[in-house]
Amino acid sequence: MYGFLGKILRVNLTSGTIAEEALSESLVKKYLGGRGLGTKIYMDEVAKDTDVYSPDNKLILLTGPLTGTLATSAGRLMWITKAPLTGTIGCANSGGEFGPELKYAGFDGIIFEGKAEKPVYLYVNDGKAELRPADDLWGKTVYETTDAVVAATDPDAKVCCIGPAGENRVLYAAIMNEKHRAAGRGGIGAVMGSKNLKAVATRGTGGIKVADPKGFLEACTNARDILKANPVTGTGLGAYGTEILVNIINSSGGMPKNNWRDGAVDPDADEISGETLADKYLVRKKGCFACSMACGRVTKIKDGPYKSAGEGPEYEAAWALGSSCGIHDLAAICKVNFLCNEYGMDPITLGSTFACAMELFDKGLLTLEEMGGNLVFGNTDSIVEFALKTAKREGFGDKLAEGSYRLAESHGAPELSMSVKKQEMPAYDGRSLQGMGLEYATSNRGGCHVRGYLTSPEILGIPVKLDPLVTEGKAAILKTFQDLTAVVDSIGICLFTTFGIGLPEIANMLRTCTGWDFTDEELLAAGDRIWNLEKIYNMGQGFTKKDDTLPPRLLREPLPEGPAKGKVCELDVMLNEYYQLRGWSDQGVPTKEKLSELGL
Amino acid sequence: MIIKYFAYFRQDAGCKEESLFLAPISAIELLRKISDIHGQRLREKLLTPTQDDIHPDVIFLIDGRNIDFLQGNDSLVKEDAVVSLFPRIAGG
Repeated sequence: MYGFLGKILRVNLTSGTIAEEALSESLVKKYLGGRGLGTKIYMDEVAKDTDVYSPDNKLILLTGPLTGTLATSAGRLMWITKAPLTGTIGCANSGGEFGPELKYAGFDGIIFEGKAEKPVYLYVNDGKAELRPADDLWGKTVYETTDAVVAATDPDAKVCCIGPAGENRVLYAAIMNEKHRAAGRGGIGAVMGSKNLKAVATRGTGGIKVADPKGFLEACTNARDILKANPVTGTGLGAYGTEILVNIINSSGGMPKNNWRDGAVDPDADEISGETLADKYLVRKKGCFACSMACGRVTKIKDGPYKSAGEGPEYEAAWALGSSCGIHDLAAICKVNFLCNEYGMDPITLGSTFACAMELFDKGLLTLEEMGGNLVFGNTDSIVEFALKTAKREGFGDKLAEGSYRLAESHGAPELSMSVKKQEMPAYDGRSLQGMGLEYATSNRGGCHVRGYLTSPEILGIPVKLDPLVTEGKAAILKTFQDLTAVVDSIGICLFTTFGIGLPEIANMLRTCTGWDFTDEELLAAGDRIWNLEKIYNMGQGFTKKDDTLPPRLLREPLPEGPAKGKVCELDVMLNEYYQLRGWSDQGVPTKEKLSELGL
Repeated sequence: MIIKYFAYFRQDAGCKEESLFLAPISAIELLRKISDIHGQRLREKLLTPTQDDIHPDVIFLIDGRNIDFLQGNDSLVKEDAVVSLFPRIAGG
């Protein structure tokens, strides 16, 4: 198989055995790789009633056919399992260099099953793999673990690992790679922790064969030229990172304040913006493997109470720890973001859970005594203190580690959790960006912005300009975006490339890489298949139409100010149309005809 | 009216924001006036070379509404409006 190595590793952590298995080409053609193939393997191998922390649960790491090749921004890897936070399919992806390195070591992916008796890490080195003791790594941070594993293996090894949050089963623990890149959402790091698997290291010197080298080079060069000429991918993302969105989303009336309670226009937003980050704390930009955009931020707080250094934050993290908590000290936000990387946590859910606790306190449903601290809107020091307590599950941190839904529910007010399917929505108000509201409600992994990203047409006018305040046309473009995103996540390139290139360029790279014969439409249909597969998994976990919804606040509390003043999210109108366009019943269930059409 | 500049428009304008005391004015005419004030570098980013159209990579908001969903280049900027000018940049 071109693009693939054709081999995966199966690692049984209970018995300590490691086996090589061949990838099925027919399965790969149907589900592409990464997210699609991983979901298919997971559903075939794991019984649907399996507890997320059971040794019977599996954790799958997969790359895509373009991962590690010359394709644009082709550094992605995908982790697939059941998500502890949501109970939905859990798939989270990450950039960096680990995915390419694993392929150079000879494998497309790894299936972890069972549970190690004691902490271990896996080392994959040029076609060989071994489990090694990791007792001395348990309890160490992501940074410490990465350094120790590199020292014990190879100076050029790439390392994925969990930090204390994953060990302590924080429900939104991340799996980090190269210290700062995060497969962040849904709590997959807690699954890794439950298996006593601390880290995976890989070193490889092999290569990847492509079907049509000349055609592939031309396709990749064409895509790269388009990205370079595009103002977003050629200039903007590199200059300011994703944080640049703070001001434009806020100016458009879409950046929620104080747990989404006080409107979506923050007068102090500029203090936490990408412009301010560039002025005050940016050391340099940083790109993942084969990326010409380089949206990563290497940042440093040189002095003051939050003196620290690391990478980030991204827009959504800055919002969650910032405006959503009434906080506008960018140094403190950076510090907590660094702690999230160091301890292995998702800063979106962390910040949103803080904000939920702050509103519970405002409503008298949570006391300072119960908190054992002062986690209230605007208290900058408190987010640093409680980030550490959460990662360690110390004191009230143990409750924060459960995420906002369980916290709010345990205090009698689940409606104060700004989440969908128990995962917190990030940074874009569905009342002022109607399409984003539909996206959150229908995302297969709960509240998420990268399962369609309608901000692109609604705010940035890419690839078409759609009025954010209207509902017309949103269902149709969302379906296309969701299907395309499923393709992108499965073949191993970065979603940000789609600001510049589209389906034709992506299909050209994949065709020439794999040698597969398919039309652009057939490729998009594979995305549709993957989306439906995930939907079927979620239905098996008991999710129904009632879960395709938004917090009551977005449906019933009109925005008090800004360009969307008076608006709620008109979800019902869009949702019915969306189900029709998907070929689903009015209850959001895929029809037999639709499943047959997709070969499911 | 208040004009707010973002991203690299700030370098070209030399400020984050400014107040202009103008009678109601169309969006494109406002950009011509701003370009007259701040010079060629900003003009090249805000307007097409012939200056008869707004540069396609400009996002122009009046009180938070994109002029693409108002009256485009002819959208009216009132005396008390807040105008936000962004290059087409992105994140996510």
